[in-house]
Formats: sequence, C-alpha cells, structure tokens
Amino acid sequence: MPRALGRQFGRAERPVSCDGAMLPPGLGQTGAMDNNAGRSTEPPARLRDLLDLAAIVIAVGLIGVVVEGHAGIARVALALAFTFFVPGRAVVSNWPRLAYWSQFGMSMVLSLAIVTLLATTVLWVGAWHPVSLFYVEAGLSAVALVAGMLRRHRGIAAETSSD
Amino acid sequence: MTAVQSRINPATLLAASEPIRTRFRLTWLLLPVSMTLWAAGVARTDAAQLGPYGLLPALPIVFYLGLGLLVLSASIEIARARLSKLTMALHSVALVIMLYGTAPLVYPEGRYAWLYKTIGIVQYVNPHGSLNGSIDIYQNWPGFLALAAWFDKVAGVASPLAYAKWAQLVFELAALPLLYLAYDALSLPIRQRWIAILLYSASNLIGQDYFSPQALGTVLSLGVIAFVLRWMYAGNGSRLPGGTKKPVGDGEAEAGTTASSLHRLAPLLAVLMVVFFVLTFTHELSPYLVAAQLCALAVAGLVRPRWLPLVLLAISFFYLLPHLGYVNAHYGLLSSLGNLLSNMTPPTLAAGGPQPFSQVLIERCAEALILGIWVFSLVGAWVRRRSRRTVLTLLILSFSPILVLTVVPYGNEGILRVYLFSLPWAAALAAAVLAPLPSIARKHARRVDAALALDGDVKRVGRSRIALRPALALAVALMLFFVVFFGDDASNVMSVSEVDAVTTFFSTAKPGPVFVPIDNAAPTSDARYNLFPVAQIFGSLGALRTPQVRPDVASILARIADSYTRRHGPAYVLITSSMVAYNQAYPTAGPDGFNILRASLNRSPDWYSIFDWKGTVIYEMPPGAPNPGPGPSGIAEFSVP
Repeated sequence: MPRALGRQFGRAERPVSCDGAMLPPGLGQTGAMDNNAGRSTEPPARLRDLLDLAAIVIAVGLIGVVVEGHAGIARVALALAFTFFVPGRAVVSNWPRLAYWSQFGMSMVLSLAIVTLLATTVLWVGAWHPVSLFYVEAGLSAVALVAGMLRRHRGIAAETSSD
Repeated sequence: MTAVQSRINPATLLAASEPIRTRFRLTWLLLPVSMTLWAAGVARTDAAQLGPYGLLPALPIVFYLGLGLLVLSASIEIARARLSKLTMALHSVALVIMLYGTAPLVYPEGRYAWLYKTIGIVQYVNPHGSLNGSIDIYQNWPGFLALAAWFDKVAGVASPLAYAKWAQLVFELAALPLLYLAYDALSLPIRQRWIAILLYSASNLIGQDYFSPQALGTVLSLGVIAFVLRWMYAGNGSRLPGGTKKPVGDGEAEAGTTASSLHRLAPLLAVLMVVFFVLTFTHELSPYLVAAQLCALAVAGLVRPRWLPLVLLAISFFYLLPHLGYVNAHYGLLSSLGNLLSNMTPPTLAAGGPQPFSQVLIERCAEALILGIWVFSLVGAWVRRRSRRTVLTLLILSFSPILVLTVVPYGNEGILRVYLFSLPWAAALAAAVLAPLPSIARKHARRVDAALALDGDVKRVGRSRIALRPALALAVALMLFFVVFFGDDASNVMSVSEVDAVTTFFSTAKPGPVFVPIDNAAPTSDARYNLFPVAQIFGSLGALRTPQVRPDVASILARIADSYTRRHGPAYVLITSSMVAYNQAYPTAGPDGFNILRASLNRSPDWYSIFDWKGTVIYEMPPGAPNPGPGPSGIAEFSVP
C-alpha cells in the first residue's frame, strides 16, 4: 500500500507550503504546510448543537438565578460563562461562514465585544441598568440560538429529503 | 480543483482517514499524575511568610515535580507521529492552570497593589451610573470598567474583590483558543502551533493579565489579529508548481480590492471594526499596537484590503481626539513623540540603597527570557526562511509593535507592552527551532511517500530527540518565568488583614488626601477612590524628594497637608506591611526609613494614630489641628490613583 500511495505523488504534484516551498506530501501533522491542511473544516452538526444547547442552558439558567436572586459561586460561574460565550455563540451559530472556522474562539471574542459595547453604551448615555441589560442580552441570545438551530436543522432536513 | 487534488488517488485519502488505533498513551497517565502532584503541592504550600525570593522557596518539591512531569508529558506527546489535538489542548490548559492558577489558590487575596486600584474604579461605576473623565485616564477608556461593573450586578457580587484574583487564570485560558486560531489561519504546522502555545504561556511574564483593561485588551487584540489573518490575509496565496494560483482561505483576500470581493468581505469587515472599536475604548495603548502590526503587514502586501489598517487607525484617532488634551496634560504625549530611545527605557527604580541580589536576579531572569524568546524567534525565522511569506508575517507581527515606541513611552512600560504583543508571534517562530521536522521533510521529500513520511520521519529521527528540544526549552523558559512571576510576591501579595483594614477604613473615612511612604497598597478598592488623592512620601518623586528620611518628616507632611486642605478636612498617612516589604525588595527609602517615619509621626503634635492592626497603621491630621508653623516643607503631587 505505501508504494501504491507513493506513486500517486510525483515530483510535480507534491504539495507546497503556504508560500510555495516544495514539501513532501501528507506532512500536515509532521511539519510541512500542506495547503489548507491545518484549516478548520465543517464542524460536526452534533458539536454545533451541543454548543448551542449549552449556550441556551447558560442563558436561561442565569436568567433564572438572577430572577430568583440567588448568590454564590454557581451564579458567578454562570455569569462568567455567559460573558465569555453566549452572545457571541448566538452570532456564530447564525453565521455559518464563521462557524466553519471557529466554534469557540470567535464566540468568545464576539461575546466579550458585544457585552462590553452594550455595557459601555448604556453607561455613556446615562441609562445604567445592568440587570435589565442582561435580560435583554440573554433573551435575544436565546432566541437567536434557537433560531440558528432550527434553521440549521431545517437545512439538513431539506438536504436529506432532496437526496 | 487543483492539479494536486485531481491526481490524488481516492485510496490515498481513504488510507489517510483510517481511524487511528487507540493505543495506550503514556501521557494519559502522566497528565493526571502531574496535575495531582501540582494540586498536592499547592495544598501543602504555606505562603504566610515570604522571603526575598517570594513564593519560590515556599512551594514544595511535589509542586515542581508535577510541573516537570507536565513538561515531560507534553514533550512526549509532541514527539508522537500523530498529535492528538485533544491531548495537546489538555496539556496547554494544564500548564496555564499550574502557572496562573497557583497564586489565587495559595493567596487569600489578589496580588499586585494596582489590582486594587482597578477594583476601586470598577466600584465607582455602579453607584454613580456614569463616568467622570476628569478623574483619571481609566474613566476615559471605560470598556473594561463597564464590563466589570455589569458583571458584578449579573454575578450578584458586591465587589470584584470576590473574584478578581482569578482573572489571570481566566484571561490566560481565554488566550489559548485565539492563539490556535491565529496559527491555524497561518497554516503553521500542527507541532509548531502547540509548542508555540506552550511557550507563550510559559513566557508571558508581563503580568498584564490581572483584573485590568489591558487583560481584556490583550484578548480582543488576539481576536482581531486572528480574524484578519483568517479573512484578510494575503500571505497564503502561493503558486502551485504548475503556476496555478492557489486560493487563499475562502478566496476573499486573494482578489484584493475588487468590488465583488469587497462585497463578500463587507460583513466580516464590519464585525472586525466593531471588535476593534471595543478594543479602542477599552485600553489606551492596545489598539495602536494592533494597528501598527496590521499597517506593517499591509505595507508588505500581506493584508488585503490594504486600506484596512488605516481605517482601524482612524477609529483609534477619532476616539483619542476628544481625550487628547487630558492625555497630553497628564502624560506628555506630544513631548514624547519621536523619542524612540528614551521611550524604550524600561522601568527604573528609585535607589534608596543597594539593590538586593534577589531583585538583581529577578531583573536578569526577565531580561534573559525576553531576549531569549526574541533571539530564538530570529533563529526560527532563519530555520524556516523558505516559508517566506509565513516567516515574513510572523517577523512583522513580532517586531512591528516597537513602532509604537516612537510615539509613547507608556510610563516606561512601553517595551514590556511591545514584548507582550510580540510574544504570540515570536513564540511561533521560536517554536520552529524546537519543531525540527521541516528539515527532515526536505531531506526525505524526494524519496519518501506520503504514508511513510508521516510516521517514518519521526521514527528515524528518534522520538527522544524530538521530545528533548521542546522539553529543554520549556524547562528553561519556566525556570526564568517562575523567578520573575513569583519572585516578587513578598511585596506583591496583600494580606487579608491589610485589604480588610484599608478597604473598611476608606469606605467610611472622611475624604482627604493620603500620604503613603510607597505607592504599594490597596487603599483605593472602594467606590470613593477619587475622594482620597494619594501622594508618595519616599522616592525621587515623593514629597521629600530625597532618599534620606528626615527626623522631622511628620512636620513636613503636616505643612504639605495644611496647604492642601486649608484645615477644612482631614489628611492621612497610611503605612502597610506590603509597603515595608516593597522597600526591602526595592530600597526606596533606606532600611530605617519606615522606623524614622513612624517615630516622627508618633512624636508629632499634628498627627494622631487612629488605626494600628497587624502591620497596617493609619495616622490622621484632623481638620481642626493647630497650624504646624513655619519650617522646611516638601512638594507633594496628590493624584487620584
């Protein structure tokens, strides 16, 4: 088998690094830069669903904890997870182009950016109501996450039926 | 479909995608054992009494064993023919937990005096519900303050004191996926990516990651650059052997500035600009460092559209303009323009005596680590010189932040910020030295087929050799890192009694100016922080303007306080154990400075000791105190911290 594989790669067809240097094939793991070998591919639907569900649980759970007025480590942990993940995940979930690249990293950056932007804006305009702002953010995020999941599943169902 | 793709036999792809047999990996054992040893070490650490080397001697041997085992485990994993993304991610997370999770576990309160200043400013936001840009520079760049104040309300905590000490761990963990995304966008080899990530965590000695605007700024900056490298990077556009141009990413940056490509890029550009705008009002320096990096990439033709960095710079300048007067008045922005050499000067300490050997060692270790990473990055660039565009990109990202020093000294911390923004990319280049496979790949390129190349090279070189280099490099980096990161903890750590006493006192005391011998305490972790302007007594910029402490220092302070308050309000002198520890580490006032000061205050008819508990002493000069009379005076510049 290795010989057979070897015959597939003559000198001319050998992959190149990202800047064109000739490299042995199949070295994405071991050192070479074979085109887009390191690039993220389409993430599994199950992972996307799992992340979306986790974000919904965090948003709804935190809303519940805040409404109930509970305090403690669990609330801090939920708030941390929300701040670093949920609003950004709602964006990524509805933007397949971003989702194909980054499931978690960009969700985090966008979450921090969205939460910071909104908090600073209400501070600037003199309408500082942080808890109300949170309800809006959490509610919109949950709705967007559900919408993203539904749209994705509708798309999968449509593809399956057309097949 | 490219020429390469068209000739690939489907059997090749099938073979490549065959599931890897699940064999027992030694790292599955080493990783949990290392974490267990580390946890046992942390549990046995007694950090109550710290000496000149801070936490280092207080950490038990099992702690270091755990860390060593983790380095060994990571190196073994790196040497494997096929890296497991999950296992490497777990090793990276474990290293960050060991490095940045130790301090919050062994200390009941957060490290660094300046942490408490940030807490005070965050505390200001919730009761006031607005900002006051005339108080300090932080309120002019309020992104992080608003985020933290919002978080406090959502998390149901009364003060960031409840969680702030964990910020270093959280922000360092947050950096990991962004580093991976950036390296992924550059198509760095997998092994190089993971070594770079480990090196980054082991070499980030700047300490920007505490509860502060720059911590959030660093995360957002990494996100911005990863985003640009993924969607607007033109460096991966190479030519295939047949001359066919290879698509770049999704092809957006390839076409440069054509109308259709811009149309496709528009939503991504909009998101990028929003994130950059958030960065702009979060931290005063980070957006310029990022813009400098992207400008340099655009000049080299590695970012498309080329006008993008100019737009980002414009966003930063438009935000700066209304605040320029404040910044220039307080920090002399315009006077530092063009003074590259003077702006590069690292922080210096006022000499009140010979510097202890421990501090000299800490400074040398910091210099060795910074220079080591930069030198290794240059060696890595040479080793990978055939990857021209990738290496050029990493070199530009590593060294372009220095351009910012032509404009601002950033309180003589500019060079440290340059290192911080250089580190992700310098570490990636340095990792090229430690991941030796490209040369092996070249050596065997002409005769080794794909499948054999994958496994065979690793076997030929010998896994032990491949494991040895990253293991040694990580061990050396960690040794230097530990000395720098934990060596100063005698003065960096605030005791519970100090934080409690000072916070309680200043949350209830009448507003007034505060003298501190050395500005290394937590007097301002309260919403009323702006009501207690602080002036330093010792040091070249202190009220005495001399390292020698005079026996009549209390009278001098009384005269300064009198001219400031006009006897309409109280004035205070605050002395804490962390200030004494700081003076031992960085002699500012001579060994007897604190004793002379306290003796003078105790003798003085102007000052009354109103608080004395576990090393924290507060003196007050009440509003109705008698006129201190004529005599020598000093100059005190009271400022809101």
